Formats: sequence, C-alpha cells, structure tokens
Amino acid sequence: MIQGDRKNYSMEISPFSVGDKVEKTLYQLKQLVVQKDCNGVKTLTERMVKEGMDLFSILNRGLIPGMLEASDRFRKGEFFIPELLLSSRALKFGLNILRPLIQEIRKDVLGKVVIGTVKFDLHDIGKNLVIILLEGNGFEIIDMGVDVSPEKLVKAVEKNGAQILAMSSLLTSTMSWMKFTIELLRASGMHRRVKTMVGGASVTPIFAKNIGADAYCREATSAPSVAKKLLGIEENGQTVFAK
Amino acid sequence: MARQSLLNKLRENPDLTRQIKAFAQTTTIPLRLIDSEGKILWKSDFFRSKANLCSLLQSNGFSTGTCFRAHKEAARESMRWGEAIISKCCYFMMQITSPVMEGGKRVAQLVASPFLLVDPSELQPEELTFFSRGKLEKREALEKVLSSVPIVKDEEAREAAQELFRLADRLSDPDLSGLIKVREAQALQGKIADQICELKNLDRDFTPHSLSKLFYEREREIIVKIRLGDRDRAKEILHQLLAIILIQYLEDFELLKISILELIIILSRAAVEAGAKIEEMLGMRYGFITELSGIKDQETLCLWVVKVLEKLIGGIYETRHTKNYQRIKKTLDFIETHYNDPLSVEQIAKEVYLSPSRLSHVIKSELGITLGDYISKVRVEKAKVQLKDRELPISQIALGVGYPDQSYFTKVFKKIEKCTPKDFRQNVIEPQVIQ
Repeated sequence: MIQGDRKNYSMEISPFSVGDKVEKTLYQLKQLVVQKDCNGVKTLTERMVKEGMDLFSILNRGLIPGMLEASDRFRKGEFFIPELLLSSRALKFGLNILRPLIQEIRKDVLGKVVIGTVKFDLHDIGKNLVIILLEGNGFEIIDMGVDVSPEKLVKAVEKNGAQILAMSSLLTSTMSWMKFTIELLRASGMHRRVKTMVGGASVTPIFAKNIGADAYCREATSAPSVAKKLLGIEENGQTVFAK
Repeated sequence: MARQSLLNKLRENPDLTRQIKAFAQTTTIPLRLIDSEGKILWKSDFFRSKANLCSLLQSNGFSTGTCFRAHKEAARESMRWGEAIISKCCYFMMQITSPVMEGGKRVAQLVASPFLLVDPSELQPEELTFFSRGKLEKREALEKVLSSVPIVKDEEAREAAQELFRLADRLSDPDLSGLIKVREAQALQGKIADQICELKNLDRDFTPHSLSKLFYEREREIIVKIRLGDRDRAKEILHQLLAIILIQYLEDFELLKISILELIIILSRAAVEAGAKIEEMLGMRYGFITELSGIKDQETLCLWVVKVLEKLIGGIYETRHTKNYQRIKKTLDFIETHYNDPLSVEQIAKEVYLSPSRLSHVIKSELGITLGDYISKVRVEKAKVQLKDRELPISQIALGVGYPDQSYFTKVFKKIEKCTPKDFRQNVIEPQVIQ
C-alpha cells in the first residue's frame, strides 16, 4: 500500500483568519522568512516562544511555510539562488532558537532516517525541508547530501542501523536511481527491517508503487506523519501500522 | 600547459583583460582567475593590498588549501548545473564560481569573492566562527577588514553570476557551449518536473484513462497554437505533453520513444495544415525518424522534441504571410481576455483593424473554423473549469462566460461537448473527485 497519498491536512498552512491573533502572528513569521528578514524572524520567534506559543506550531505553520513559499518562488523563477540563500538563512535564525527547546521536550528518538537526493540529482531544497521537519518531530537524521549513489545510501543505512531510507529526486531523468537503490536494499536483505519513502516534484504515487517503495510523500510537510506511520508510531491518539 | 595558453590568451587579447577588470569594477566584487593547481593567474586590486580579508585569515593560521578545495568543488558543481554558482566560501563569505574549459576539460576557474549579501553588523556569531578561532590581537584588524568586503544586493549578485559565466565563456577554448547545453537540459527537466507537480496538484488520479484524456485535450490545444505559430504557448503545452508521456512510460524507454514519435507526427501534420510545405515536412519527418532512432537517453530525447517543435513552427513561418498572423494572434488574445463580454464580429474587427468580412475570412482560412465557433469554444472551455466548483449555479457560470441566457448556453455547450453542463458536472467531474 502506498501511504501518504492523501493530503495531510493537520500540517497544512492554515489560511489566516482576521482577528485570530495566533494565526496572524504565524502568518507574519511566514512572511518574514519570505522577505528574507533574518533579524525580524529572530525577534518574532523569540517573542512567540516567550509568549508560550506551541513550538511545533511556530515550526510547522510559521517558519516552514515561509521556506516553502520561498522555494516555490524559486521554482517559478521569481527568486534566484541569492534570495533563496537569504530566506534559508532567515529560517535558520528561527530554527536556532527552536532547536534546543524542542530537543528538551523530545528526549527520545523516534527513529533513525538516512536521507539523500539520488544520483545525478542536485536539488536539495525539498530534501532539506524534510530534514528540518523530521528533526523537529523527533527523528534522528543522517543526511547524505545530493547526487548520492545507491551503494552509499545502502551503506549508510547499514552503518547507522536506520529504520527508514528516504530518497528525493526532482527530475524524471534521475528517478530511476530510486528504483536501483531499492533494488540494492533488497539484494542486501535489509528491506525487511528498513522502510523506504520517496518524494520529489516528479515522483508520482504510481511510480512509487512500481518501484516498490513503502511510502510516497506528496509534499515535504507530510514527511513526518508518513515516517511515523511507517514505523507504526501513534499519532493523534491513533496507532497506525505500516504494512 | 593550460596555464600558459590561458596567460597567452590574456596577453594577446587586451579586450578580454579589460572585460575582466570591468567586471571587478562594476560589480565591486573581487575577482581571481585560478588554474587547476591553485595558482592565481589574474587577480583584481582587492588582493593586491596586504590587509585584505583572505590574506589576513591566512596569516592567522588558515590554510589556502581549504579555500582552493572549496573553489574546486564550486567549479565542479557549476559544471553540473551549466551556469555560474553562487555559494558560501569556507569563511561564510559569498562566492561566485564559473569554470574555464579547454577542449572539454576544466583548466581553471573564475572566482568572484569575497562579498556579502547582508551588512557585516547583521552577521550572527555562528557565521563568524573564524573570528573566535583566530588569535585575539588580530580580531580588531579582522573586524576592520570585514568592513572592506563589498555588500552586494541579491539581484546584483544574480546579474554578476550571469556576467561571470559570459567572461568564463570568452576565456574558454572554444567556449562553454557544452555547459550551456547542460543548463538547457536541466532547465527543461525542471520545467517538466513543474508540470508533473501541477498535474499532481490537480488531484489527478493518474489512471491510464484520465491521462489519455488529458493528453488528447492538450494535443488539440497545441495544434491550435502551432497553427497560430504561437511559439511560447506551444512550447509550454509541449512541456505538459512531455510530462504526461513521462508519467506513463518513464520506465520503458522504447515505449517512451514510440509515443514521442506519435506526437511528432501529429505536430508535423498540424504544421502542414498551418501552411508549411508538405514536401518539406515529409523530408523533415524522415529526418526526425532517423534522428530519433539514435537517441539513447531521456534527457536528450526531451531536448530533441523541443527542437523539433521549433523547426516545425519555423517551417510555417517561412511560408506564411506574417501580416495575417499578427492579426490572428491579436484577435485570439482579445477573445481570451473579453470572452465574458457580448462579443460581435464588428467589434473584434475594429480592434484588429480589419473589415468584419475580411476578419471572418482570415480566421476561417487560417484556423479552419468560423470566428463564432471559436468564441463558443473558448467560452465552453472556461465554463468547464468553473463547473468543477459544484457550489456555483450554472446560470451564474453561463453569465460569467458571456451568455446571459442559460438555455442558449446549454445549447452551445451541448453542441461542443455532446452533453449538457449539468451532465458534464455529474458524469465527468464528480467521478474524478470520488476516485
């Protein structure tokens, strides 16, 4: 079964309704990331933390949507590398405040994830967002970077004893490398204890199914819930078992 | 060897040296030309002063090796993207890198650095770790020298990157056309990925049925655009068509090629209908088939199809009377933006400076349908999109696409779609949503 196929509404960017102060502040934070305003992000995140706002809301509904919007603009050609770098710098300012606080709450590691963009693919914006989201949700991440060969990915899984192998590929021309990686994982016999999840602009549910991936991520924001489902971890009071 | 030939090139072409100097002056970013062994072949004035940031860092115990490795890595990445790369250097400064090639091999790189995208006062402690690592007495000097690093606005950095690539192109032998091809291939793959992404956002379930229906719709659209010679729009639709084909046949290259061949035959037929010479088209088609059999990978295949489309549209341009052409384009653009107004032939004719009878004739002969039929088609297409919103009453949709009379709208819709708007909403749209 392919999971994560449907939109994960709980992680969706909520449209901001007038009068709701929390929503308004979150929206403001998102805009600050898009506007590349590092100091603004820093000050507002600090203020929100001080006011006792939910840390995960700040992350999932403020900072991350801002970065998503920035990468969307990059895709459309409205932003270029310098703008994108500045937006991700702004994001980092916010993350630096949240990270230690979140780690305090979540001392237990939910699982280990090896992640990488497959061979010949250099796109890492989506992958980096997935990393932030997974880390924020209590996963330990081993980031293998971009243009990673199947051998390297499988070796990293083995060496780190990871439970999940996450792969990203933006281009149709590089997607086959996900297939080769899953095949190699099978050949190594680890596929029984290691789950695979795939995502990226060109990846479709059909493709994910055809190459034998355990889960398909529709968008970066659904990665944490997909990963949790894969490991059979309780979410929203329900236990969801992976196949 | 390579170093000598590059130095000779600089010596023999004072123009080239002038351009490199001009880059450093206009962008204010310090520039170096560094060969593949790390030797500096040319540097801008910034590096001539002893107290510049880089040499201060180095005298502070930082090795040049780290910098050199970072430059090399950036140049390598630049080759894979086919453009100049903007990245961070090892000291959190910004750098722009472009390779210089000779006979297909990288022999040197142009490195424009250091510069900053923000004011040094805004830098955070973790971005200035090299300060704390250095010796304390040098701190003040470092701080001072940091203020000499140019601050470049993001859009200026983008322009500088393009200019640096052009410079590297001129320094290369013969040029960087190989890299430009890489960039084109990357850009095209990116556009196809965008289209797939959009298809996914439409919540398409990707059944063979829904995909082939979508393909058929796009095919009809591209034929109209080819007839009009509307290159840009035709290209855009071609990206969509490629996305649909790739979703289906990504894993089977032979099937992929066959469906591309089918597509090309349809496109060339549209070109003939649009006025390209049939003998030429047949010759071209033969050429396409031979070329296609030689293509071994998907990236080349996609690039090739785009080129084919350009050739086909070019074939129409050559034989067609361009004057009509502009008028038709203007007519269709006008309809596209005014479909919700009560349109008359007289009114449109006035817009494009033709007599009503002349306009009708031109449209019929070039598009193969009457002006009235074309307007109806546009309106029905717009209505189809709005029908997806189930809350919207049909009477309102009819009004919104320029039909004040709902029953007349239904009649027109039925003529084109072979079903009523209500049936369309129930039978065509809803099953897709449920699935």
